[in-house]
Amino acid sequence: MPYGLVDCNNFFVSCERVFRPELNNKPVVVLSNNDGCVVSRSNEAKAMNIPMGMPFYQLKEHDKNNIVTAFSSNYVLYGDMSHRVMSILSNTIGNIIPYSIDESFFAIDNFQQLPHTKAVALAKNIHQSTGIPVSIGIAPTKTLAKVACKFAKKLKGYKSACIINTDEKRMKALQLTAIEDVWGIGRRTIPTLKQKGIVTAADFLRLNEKDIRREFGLPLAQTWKELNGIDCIDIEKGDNKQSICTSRSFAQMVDNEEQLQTHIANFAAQCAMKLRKQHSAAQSVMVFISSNRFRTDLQQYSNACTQMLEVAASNTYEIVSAASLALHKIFKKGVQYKKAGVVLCDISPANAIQTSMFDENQNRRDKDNRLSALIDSINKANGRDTICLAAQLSEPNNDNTQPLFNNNLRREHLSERYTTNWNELLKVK
Amino acid sequence: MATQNNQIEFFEPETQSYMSIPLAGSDVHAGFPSPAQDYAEQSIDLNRELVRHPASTFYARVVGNSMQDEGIDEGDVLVVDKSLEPQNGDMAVCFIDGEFALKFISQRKGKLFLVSGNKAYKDIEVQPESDFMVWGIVTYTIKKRNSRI
Repeated sequence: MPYGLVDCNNFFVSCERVFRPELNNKPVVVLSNNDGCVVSRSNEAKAMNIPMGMPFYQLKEHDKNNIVTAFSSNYVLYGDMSHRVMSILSNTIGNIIPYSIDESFFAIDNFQQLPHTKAVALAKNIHQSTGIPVSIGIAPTKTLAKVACKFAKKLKGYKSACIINTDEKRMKALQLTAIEDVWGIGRRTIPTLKQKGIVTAADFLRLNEKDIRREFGLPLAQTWKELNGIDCIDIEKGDNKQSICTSRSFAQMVDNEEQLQTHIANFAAQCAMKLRKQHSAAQSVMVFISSNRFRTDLQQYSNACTQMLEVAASNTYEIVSAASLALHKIFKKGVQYKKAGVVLCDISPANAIQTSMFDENQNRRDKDNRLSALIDSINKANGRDTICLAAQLSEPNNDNTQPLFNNNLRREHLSERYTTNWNELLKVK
Repeated sequence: MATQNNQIEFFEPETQSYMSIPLAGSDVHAGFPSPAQDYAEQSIDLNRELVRHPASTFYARVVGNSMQDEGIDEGDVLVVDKSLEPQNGDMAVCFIDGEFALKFISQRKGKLFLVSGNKAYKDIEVQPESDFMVWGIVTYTIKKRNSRI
C-alpha cells in the first residue's frame, strides 16, 4: 500500500503571505516565541544565507539593507490554515495521517489511484483554495515518500509532485539524496555514518541490516528497511498524541511563586483543552521549570515533578490543580526562572477511562467535565480565555484581567488573526 | 418549522451551530456523532448556506466605497471563496499593484478590466506587466441593518 506525503512549503511564511501578497518573491521570515530566532524562511531569505534558528538580533545585523520582513509567530493563524489544507486533503484522499502542523501522510490502495497528473492537480487545488503552496511525494513507504517530496519541492519540472513507483526510480533518488536529508536519521548518528564513508542514502543501503540494528538500534534499522521499500514505520498511533505539552520561555525571568503559578495554570488549562479536543483523558501531569542556562552568573536550577491523578481526567479544574501542586513541590526561592511547561502523559480515549473502585468523586467529576465543555464552547465563540479559572489570571483585582502569559510574550511583529477573529479580518478597499 | 407571513417566509435560525470554518478536518476523526444530527433538516444553518467550501472560504471586511452602487458599504463583511475559478462578471477580491481591491471582473475584446460599483471610479485595465491576482470570488455580502445589536 503506497503512501503519500503532503508538505506545505515554508509553511509559516506562506501563511503570512496569503494575506500579504505583496511579500511574494521577497525575503520573509517568521520568528519563534518571544521573537527569539528564525523558525521559517522564504526561499529568498534562504538565498540570503539566513540559517534556520538565527537569533533575531543577528538577523538585524545580517540584513544590513533592511529588506527582510520578519513576523512574530501567529499560531492561531497557522493552526487555522493547517486545518484548511488537511481538510482538503482528507476530502480528496480520505485516509490521511496528520504528522505535524505542515505535513500529513496519506495512504492509497495503489499507485494508479493517484497518478502524477492527479497529484499535480491536488497540489494545485490546495494552493488555489488556501493560498498555501504544497509539495507531494508518493512512494511505497513513508520514508521514501519523504524523499520523493523533497524532489517535488526542489525541482520545478516535477510540478510539485514526485512519484517513486519503480526500483529504478528509487535507487536513482537515493543516490541523489544526502544521508542527512533522510527522515529518521538523527543528527548524532550522521558523523558516525560519515566516518564509514556513507554520504548518500544509497550508500547507507549497502550496510547490513543486522549490523545497523546492533550498532544503532531498531529505529535506524527500520529506516533502512523503509528505504528498501518495506513499510514498517507506523505513526498512525500518534494520531491521538501520547503526550501533550505546553511550554514557554519567558520574555522576562520570573522569580516569585505566585506569578509562576499563574503561568503554569495557563499552560495546564491549554493542555487540558487540547486533551478534550482529541477526546482523551490523561492520568499524569508533569510540570517542569528551569533557570536561564545562558546566564551563568545566576543560580542554576531546573526540576520537574509529575502528579498522578486517581482517575484519568480532562477537565481544566483537575489538571490545573494537579499542576499547581506539582509546581509547589519543586519551586525553589531565589531562582530566576526562564522556562516552564506542563506535559500530560498516560493519555487514553475519554470513553475508555478506568474508574477507580475507591473513586467517590464521580459526581463532582461529571460536573467538572460538563463545566469544561461549556467553557470550551464559550471560549470558542467569544475568543480564547473569555472564561478561565481565577488561577490563570495574574491579579484578580487588577484592571489587567488578561491571562498573564498572553501579555508576557514578546510579539512585536504579529500579523492579524485574519481567519479567526472578527475584528482582524482582511481589509478590502 | 417554517411559518408563512405574506411574501416573507420565516425559518427558525440554527443558533446552536458552532460551525466555524473549516469544519472538515475535525469531522474526520470525531468519535461521537451528535444525536441532534438526526433532526438537522428542521433548522437552518446559515454557515452551511453561506459557506459551501469551508476550507477555502475566508471572510473580509469592506473599507471605502468602491461598491456603494451595489449596496455594499464600509464595514460590510464579504464571504470569499478562493477555490472558485474567476468568470466574467464575478465580484472578486483582487490584489493589484500592492493593494486589495473589491472589483467586478470584466472581459472585453480580449482585455481584462476591473470595474467598481461606484461611478466615481474609473475602470482599471489589467496590463500584462501589472502585479495582479484574483485572490478570491465574493459569494455573499453581509450587512448589518440595525445598530442596536
